[in-house]
Amino acid sequence: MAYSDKVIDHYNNPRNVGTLDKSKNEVGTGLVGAPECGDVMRLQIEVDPETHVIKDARFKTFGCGSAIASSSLATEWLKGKTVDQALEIDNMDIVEELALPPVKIHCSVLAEDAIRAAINDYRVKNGLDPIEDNNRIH
Amino acid sequence: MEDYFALLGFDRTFNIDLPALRQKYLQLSRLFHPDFHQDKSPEALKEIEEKSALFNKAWSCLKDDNSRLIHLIELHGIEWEKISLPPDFLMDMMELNEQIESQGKTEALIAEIMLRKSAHLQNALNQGKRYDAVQELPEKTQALRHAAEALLCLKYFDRLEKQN
Repeated sequence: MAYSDKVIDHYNNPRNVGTLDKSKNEVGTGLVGAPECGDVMRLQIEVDPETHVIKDARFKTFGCGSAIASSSLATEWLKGKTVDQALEIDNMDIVEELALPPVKIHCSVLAEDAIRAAINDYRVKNGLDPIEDNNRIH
Repeated sequence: MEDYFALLGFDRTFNIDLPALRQKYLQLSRLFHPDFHQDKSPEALKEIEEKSALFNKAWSCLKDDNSRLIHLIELHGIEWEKISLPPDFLMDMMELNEQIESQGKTEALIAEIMLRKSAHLQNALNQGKRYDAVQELPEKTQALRHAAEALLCLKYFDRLEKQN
């Protein structure tokens, strides 16, 4: 299976790798895993409490090239979006952008799950109810 | 889904009488050996061949602790995608991965991975034993759900072991 140029680019130059201070109220942390392959992904957002705009996003993924590229792309897309806009990011957008083959679609699902988990962590920290998940937490 | 326990005439249990299971498998395999049924119609022969293949699958599934446990889990309708792992577990996995990334696979880390992996495996097998010990269906299902969690945890350690 050949990776697309975009996947290779994100894999070789991952954007926004790192950590944000998870003890801060403005920071939401999402931690998800894919038992099928043992991949783990941490994705964090830092939100402006006034405007609800995501100021910064960081990730760290231990997994295959597609999982790394999916989360790297996700952090790029998250920056500058409001939390509500971020919720609209669909895993199929990631699939399309990175030209992921069908066997790698679960990597984009993992990235979407990580986004939702980070947003929910931020919401709960700030006294809001978590957004309902589609039972894909694992 | 095919119930291999029923197919070979055994109760659904984790601890299974392996010698008796093996005997039953061999007996059925002989009975349904295609060579002994060459006089049958093509349809009947095909059915016998399929049956014979099914017995092979059943035996190879039930003879092994791990796959027998997985079969019980799936027979009880537990869906792998719906199992969520303990919240701290992924955090631990992230940390272990980060440690390997920064220090490489030191002997201490390899030992820790092995130790934790065997603890999860032991836990899965213990839940299998609990499945046999409890009487009520909800309790049995709960034991299998815990077993499934432990088996999923194991997969993360498989990856850590393979990683350089």
